[in-house]
Amino acid sequence: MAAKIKLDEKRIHAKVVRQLEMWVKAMPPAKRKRAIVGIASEAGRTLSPEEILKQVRELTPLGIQFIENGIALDTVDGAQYLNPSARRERAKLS
Amino acid sequence: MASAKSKVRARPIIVVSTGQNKIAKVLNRYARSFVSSLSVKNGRSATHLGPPKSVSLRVQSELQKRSDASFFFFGHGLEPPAVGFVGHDSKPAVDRKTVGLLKGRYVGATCCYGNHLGKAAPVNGFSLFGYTDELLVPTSLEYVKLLEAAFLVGPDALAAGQSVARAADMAATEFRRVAQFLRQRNQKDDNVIARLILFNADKARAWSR
Repeated sequence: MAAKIKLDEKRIHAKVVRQLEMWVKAMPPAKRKRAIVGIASEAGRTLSPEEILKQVRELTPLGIQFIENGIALDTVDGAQYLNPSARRERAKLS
Repeated sequence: MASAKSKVRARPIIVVSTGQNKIAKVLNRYARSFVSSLSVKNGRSATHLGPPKSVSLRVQSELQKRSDASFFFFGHGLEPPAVGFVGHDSKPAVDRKTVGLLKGRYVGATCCYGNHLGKAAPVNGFSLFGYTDELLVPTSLEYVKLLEAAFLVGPDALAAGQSVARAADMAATEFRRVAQFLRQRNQKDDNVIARLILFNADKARAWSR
């Protein structure tokens, strides 16, 4: 079961990275490096689409939270975030 | 006997916003909307120190002059281990040395690292609504407009006499609602902004004296 959960996490990570790669690729090159959000701290750091992709790819604390936020939104939405095989397993249980 | 709510309503209000970079300018825009809404909704006026007036010494002087005023800050928080707010001149407007200026006040902190300032609330006798660690601020105009209500619902609630806890709850709910809306609309950058904005929902907090 533990191995199964680990596999699902990897798949979710890979799926979010793929989605972000497609999102970044679809935008004009200049926009990829432009700030999409800023951080209200003294340093005034900003995050560009490429930086967000990097953080998710490298599973930094921000990247992990970004993935979890997507899961939370999908869950509230009533959508499934698990992979198809896990979905079938859940369907059998219910 | 006046209720606690009406006492808060009767308090004068000081609003400080800065504009030293793009992020601060977005927060300054929200501060200006907040000040306008105060007079429209409640017929109240606020003392607004915006850029370039919102330098550290001027902020401290205003706080000294009006010791009974609620205080709303829109800008940058000092990086830990420091605590407090950064003035338009990039100097500490409130820090460990001057945090006593917040005594007895209701404080709305639309900036990063509210949790570090929050730790000083019980000792220094103020109540704070703010955000733990890093507050994310949109930078493109479309999302700046779309998220204005989420950034202002907490300060609005506090100015209207709600508790800091209620202000934090309302801010968290509104950030979640907008994130859900963006998730469902799913245009352009909606999906990414929705995920980023949920960070703020989880970070809205209250610290009481």
